[in-house]
Amino acid sequence: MGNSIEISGMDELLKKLEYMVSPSKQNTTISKALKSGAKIIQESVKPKIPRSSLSKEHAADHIEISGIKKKDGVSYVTVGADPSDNNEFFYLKFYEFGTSKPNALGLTFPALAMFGRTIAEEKENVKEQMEIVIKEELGL
Amino acid sequence: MINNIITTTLSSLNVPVSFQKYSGDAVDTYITFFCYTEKGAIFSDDKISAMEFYVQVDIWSIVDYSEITESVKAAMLNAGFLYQSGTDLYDPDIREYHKALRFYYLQED
Repeated sequence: MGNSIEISGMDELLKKLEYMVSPSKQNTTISKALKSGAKIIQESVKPKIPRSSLSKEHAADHIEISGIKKKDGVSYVTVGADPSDNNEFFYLKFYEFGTSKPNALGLTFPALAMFGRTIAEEKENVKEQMEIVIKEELGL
Repeated sequence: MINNIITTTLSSLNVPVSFQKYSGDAVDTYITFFCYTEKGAIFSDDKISAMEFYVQVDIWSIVDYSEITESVKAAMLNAGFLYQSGTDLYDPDIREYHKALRFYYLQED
């Protein structure tokens, strides 16, 4: 959905990680920390996603944490549903960013900024959780 | 007030700017904005001494909106906002382009 958390202020801990364990253990630790932080976003965003009264699967049931990705040497994970237009839950992007007027079905999607809000609200909690995981892995 | 700051910031772009909803008669392009999160950022003596605002600025257009996008970004940055992310959207039902831009603003007392 285009929102992101850039975690900073963990330099000292990351240096310890670099010096104290092998590269392989570093990767495992970063992976665990990222997934643990992403879990907070996943759990927090799910209740904010609107559900119809119909007995069927909704986008909220498909908010997944991706595998570890890497870009420019930085590891990250994504949280959300597949945003492509051929995905059944493509309408999530309308809930996130909104539409300007009713569509052909007379439905409007006011911007709810579910992911944006969650990230803004949970940023510190994500950072704390990641620190906890890294310290645990280092035995600190 | 954050709404006044945004309205004033974008007023020089010669495009209608409105909080939340636009009910004017601009045909090509108009801008709406809203704050999706605001919260205390710095506290002292149990009081908020700085607030942070997470803002979405929406450009709605039926024409190429590249230039106005850059103008919005430049104006917001110049006013002290930090640019966070942008998303290009198109809704075939309403045949309108929609550029959602997100910014962060820290306001100290």
